[in-house]
Amino acid sequence: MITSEAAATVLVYGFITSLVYALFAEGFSLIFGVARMIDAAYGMWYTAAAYMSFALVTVYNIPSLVTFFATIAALFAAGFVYYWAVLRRIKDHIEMIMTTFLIALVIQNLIVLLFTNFPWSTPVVLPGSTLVFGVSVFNQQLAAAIAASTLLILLWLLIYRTKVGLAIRSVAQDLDAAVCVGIRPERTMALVLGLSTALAGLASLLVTPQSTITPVLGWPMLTLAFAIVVLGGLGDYRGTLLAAFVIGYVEIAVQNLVSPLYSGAASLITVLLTLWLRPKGIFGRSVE
Amino acid sequence: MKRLDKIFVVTLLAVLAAMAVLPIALNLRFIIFILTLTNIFAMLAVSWNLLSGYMGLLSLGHSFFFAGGGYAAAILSISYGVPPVAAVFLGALVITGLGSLIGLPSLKLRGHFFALVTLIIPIIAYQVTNAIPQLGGHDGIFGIPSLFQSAEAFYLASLAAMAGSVMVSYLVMRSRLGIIFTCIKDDEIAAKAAGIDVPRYKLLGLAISIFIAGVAGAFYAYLNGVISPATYELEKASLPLLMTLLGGRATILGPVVGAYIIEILIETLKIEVLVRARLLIYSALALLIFMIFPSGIVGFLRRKVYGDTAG
Amino acid sequence: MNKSIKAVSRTAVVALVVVVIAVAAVAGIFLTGVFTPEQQKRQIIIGLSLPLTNPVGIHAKYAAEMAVEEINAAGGVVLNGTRYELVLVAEDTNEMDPLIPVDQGVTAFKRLVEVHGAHVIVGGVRTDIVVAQTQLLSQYKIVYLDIESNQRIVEDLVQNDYENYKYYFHFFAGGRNSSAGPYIAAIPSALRNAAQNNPNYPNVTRIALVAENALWTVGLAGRPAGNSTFFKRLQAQGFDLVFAELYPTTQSDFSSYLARIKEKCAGLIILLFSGPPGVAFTKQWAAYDWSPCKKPIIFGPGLLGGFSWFWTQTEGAAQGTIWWPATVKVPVTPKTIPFIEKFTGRFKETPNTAAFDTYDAIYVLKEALERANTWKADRLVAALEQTDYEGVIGRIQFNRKLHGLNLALPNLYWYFGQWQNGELVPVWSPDQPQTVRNLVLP
Repeated sequence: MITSEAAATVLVYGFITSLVYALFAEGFSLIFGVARMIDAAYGMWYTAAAYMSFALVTVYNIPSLVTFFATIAALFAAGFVYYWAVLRRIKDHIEMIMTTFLIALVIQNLIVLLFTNFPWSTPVVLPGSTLVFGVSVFNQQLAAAIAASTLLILLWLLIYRTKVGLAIRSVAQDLDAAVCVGIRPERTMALVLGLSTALAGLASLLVTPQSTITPVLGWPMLTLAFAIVVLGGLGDYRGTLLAAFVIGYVEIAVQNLVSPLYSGAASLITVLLTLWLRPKGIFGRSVE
Repeated sequence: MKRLDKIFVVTLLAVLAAMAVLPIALNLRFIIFILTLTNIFAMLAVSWNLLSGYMGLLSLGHSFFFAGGGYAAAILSISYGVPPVAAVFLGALVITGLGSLIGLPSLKLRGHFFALVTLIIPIIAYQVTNAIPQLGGHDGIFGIPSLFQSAEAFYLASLAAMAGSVMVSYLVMRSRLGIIFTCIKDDEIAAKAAGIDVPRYKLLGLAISIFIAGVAGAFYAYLNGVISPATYELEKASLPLLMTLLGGRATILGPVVGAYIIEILIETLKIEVLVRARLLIYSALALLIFMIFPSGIVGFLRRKVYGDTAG
Repeated sequence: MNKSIKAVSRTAVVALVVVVIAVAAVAGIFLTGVFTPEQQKRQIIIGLSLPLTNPVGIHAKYAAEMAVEEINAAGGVVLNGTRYELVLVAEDTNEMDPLIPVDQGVTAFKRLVEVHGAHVIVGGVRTDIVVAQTQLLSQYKIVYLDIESNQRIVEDLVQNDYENYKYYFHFFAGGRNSSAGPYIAAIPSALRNAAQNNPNYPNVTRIALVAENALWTVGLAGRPAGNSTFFKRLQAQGFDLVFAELYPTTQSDFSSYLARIKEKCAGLIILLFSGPPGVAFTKQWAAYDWSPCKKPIIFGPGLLGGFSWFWTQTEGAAQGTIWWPATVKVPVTPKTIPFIEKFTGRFKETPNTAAFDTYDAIYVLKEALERANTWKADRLVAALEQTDYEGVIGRIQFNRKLHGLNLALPNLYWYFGQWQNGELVPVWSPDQPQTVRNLVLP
C-alpha cells in the first residue's frame, strides 16, 4: 500500500522535523523542569530571533554568520535579564502565565509596529537541496538537522557531565537541598532562562529561513513545545526528546499518508490520548 | 460590615439600572453595541473565573466553549430551524455535553497537565472545523438570523444574561458547593480524605462554567451574524484570563470590572493618530496594570475596604 | 516590588490609575465624537474599513488619499450645484491577522458609521469580515464598496436578496462575472502548445494542484481537492491531475507536498494561495531538487504573488512563477500608467491590487454621487448601477443585475504576469488564449 518512496519521505522528513522540535522543546523543558515555570513568552523568543536576524541581514546588510551569533548572544542576554527583571519576583503560576503572556503580546505588537504584519522572509544561507535516501532535502534543513543534533548532544553533555549541569539538576530535584550545598539557585535559574531563550532562537534561526516570518509565528510553536514537554513528562531530557520524535513523526506521517489538513490535529490528539491513558506523560514525574 | 454590604448592594443595583436605562435613553447606538460586546465577554470571564479562579483548574482554552456554543447555536438555528432564543440555551447545552465528555478523562489530570489539555483542545477544534466543510470550513458560518430585531433589546438581554451569570456564580459560591469548590482548590487530597467526591464536583464546576461560556458564545454569534474558526483562537482564549486577572481572580465582580476596563481601553485607544501603535499601547497598559495589581483591582479594593486580613 | 509599591501608598496609585482611565475614556469619547455627531455641512465622509497595519490596507488607504486629494483639488463633488468636499476617516480591522475573529471588523464598521458619521464605506479584505459587515448594510442603509475580497458570496446575495444587499458593489475580480477560472483553464493548453516546440519544457500535461483551504478555492479546486468541474474539463482535454491537496493556512514546511509532486513527476503546479504559505511554497519549490524530472512550472491565482514585494519576499525564488492578479505595467487604459507612476513616485512602492481598486472605487463613487445628487443610499445605489467609468483597472460597468466587475472587457485582471529578474512580465492574456508570450522556464 505505502510505496517505498513515501516511506522514505516520512522517515527522512520526520527525522529532521523531530530534531528541530526537540531542540526547541528542550529549552521549554529546561525552564519547566528546573525553574518550575511556564514561560508563555517562549514562542515569542522564536519570533523575536527571526525578526532580529531579518532586520540585521535584510535591513542593515550584516553578514549571515555575524547575524547568527549576534542574535543568539542577544537572546541569551535577554533571557538573563528576563529572569532577573521579571520572572524572579513571581511565585504564582497563573500570575506567571499572565505576565509572560502579556510580555509576549507587547513584543509581538512592537514587531507589528516596526515591520507590519506582512509576511517577510529571511534569506536562505545554504540554497539548493541534496538527495538523502532518494529524498530531496533542502540544504538549509540538512544543516538544521546536523546543527540540532550537535546542539542536543552538547546540551546533554552540559546537563549531565559538567558542574554547571550538576547545579542545574540539583536545583531541579530539590531547591532547598541545593541551597544547603552552596548552590545559588537564582544564578542557576537565570542561566537556565538564558539557555532556554537561546535554544528557542537557535531553532528559529535554523528553520525560518526556509519559509516566512510573521509576528504570530511563535504561538503555534509555544503550543507545540508545551505539548511535547507535557507528553515527555514535564522537564525530563530523555522524555522531551522522545516526545518530540513522537509528535514529529505523527505530524509528517499524517501529512504524507492521510491529509495535511489533519496533521496538526493528529499530533495534538496523540498527546491528548496519551495523557488520558498515562496522566503523567511518558516519563511520568510528578511536578505540580 | 453589614451596613457596608447594604450600601454596596444598593450601589450595584443603581449602577445596573443606570446601565439599562442611560444608553437607551440617550440613544447612543455605538455605545450600546460596545456594551453588548462587553457584557458577552464579561460572561465569558465570569465562567472562566468560576472554573479557574474559584476551583483552581487552570483553563487556557475557554475559547473552545465560547466558540463551540456559538457554532452549536448557529447550526441549530440555521440547519434545524430552532428559534434563536431556544438555540442559545440548546447550543450551550450541546457544548456543555461535549465539553464534559472531553473534560471527563481530563479531570483526573492535575496542575499543568490539565492546563495543557485545555490549551490544545481549541486548537484541535480549530483545525477540525477548518477541515470540515459541513462546519463552515475556514470562513465560518454566515447568515445567522438575529436574536432580536432591535439592538436595544439585544443589549438588555446581554445585560440580563451577564447579571444572571454573576448571580449564578454568587449563589454557587455562597452555597455548600462553593465551600466544596474552595476545598478542592486549597487541598485536593484533604478534600478527598474528608469524603468529598472530588471528580463529581469538578465535573459539576466544569459543566456550569461551560454552560455560561456557551451562552456567551451563542450571544456572540448572533451579535455578529457570523461565526468563524478564528473564534477558537488565542485571542478569545486569553481574553477571559486577562479580564479576570485585571479585575480580580476569585472575586464575584472582578471579571465584570476587568471586562469593562479592557473594552474601555480598547475603544478609547482607537484614535486616528494611534493607528499603528494602538495594539502596542494596549498590551503595554494591560501589562502595567497587571504588574501594579497582581491580585486584581477588585481584590485590591476589597482588601482596602475590609482590611488586610479578610483579603 | 511589593515593598516599593507599599511605600508609595497603593491608594494613591489606584486613584491615579482610575483618574487616568476616566480622563482617557472621556477624552476619547469626545475626541471620537460619540456625543457630538455633528452634521458636517458640505462634506461627504468616506469610511475606510481596512487592516491598517498591513500593506494591503496601507496601500488602499494611500490610494484613497490620492484620489480624494485629486478630486477635492479639481473642485470636489458637486451636488445640486453645491460644492462638497470628500473627507476620509479610517478604522483598523486588523483583518490580515488570520487569528483575529470577525468582531473587530464589525466594530470598525459601526464606529465608521456611528462615531465618524461616514456616508459611504470602502473596505473589505477577508471574506468572513466582508460578509459580517454587509449583513449590516440594510439596517444602516449605507453603500459599501468592496475593494479586495475575492468572493462572489455577497454578489450572489445581491441577486437573491436585492432589497437587503443592493448597497454592495464589488471592485475586485473573483465575482460572478470576473472569475479567473476560464483563464486558468486555458493556460495549461497554451503551455502544452509552447512545449511542443521546446524540448526543455517539463511535462505540463501532468498537473499538481495545491490549494489553500479557504472558501474561495472551493469552486475551482473542489472538495475534496481536485473534485471540480474545472479539473474534469482539463482531464477531458488530455491533462492528468496527478496530485491534489489542500493546505492549512498555517502550513510553513511544504517538503512533504513537494516530495509527492516529484514522485508523480508533475510538470505543472496550480497553486491557489492568498497568504504567507504561498511565499514559503515558492521558496521551497525553487530550492527543491527535482531531478530526474524537470522543474515544474508554477502558476495560479496568488494574491501576494502579484504584489511588488513578492520578489524581495522570496529572495528572487519567485523567478519563473506566473501569477494572477498581477500588477503588470501595461497601459490597460490611458489612466493606468500615470496612476502607477504617480503612486510609485509618492509612496516609493509599486501599488498592489487593493490600491488600484480603491482608487477607481473613489472615482466611481464621485461620479455616482453627482448623478444621484445625494449620498442617501437608495438613490446612490441607483446611480452606481448606471456606472460606466473608465478607470485604472479598465472599464467598470455596474447594472441592476451585476454589482461586480465585468471581466469581458480588457482590464488589469486580464493578465498573468511572470516574475523575470525582479519584474512582472505579462505572459498570457485571454485575447490570445492559445499562446504564451515572453515566457522563461524556471
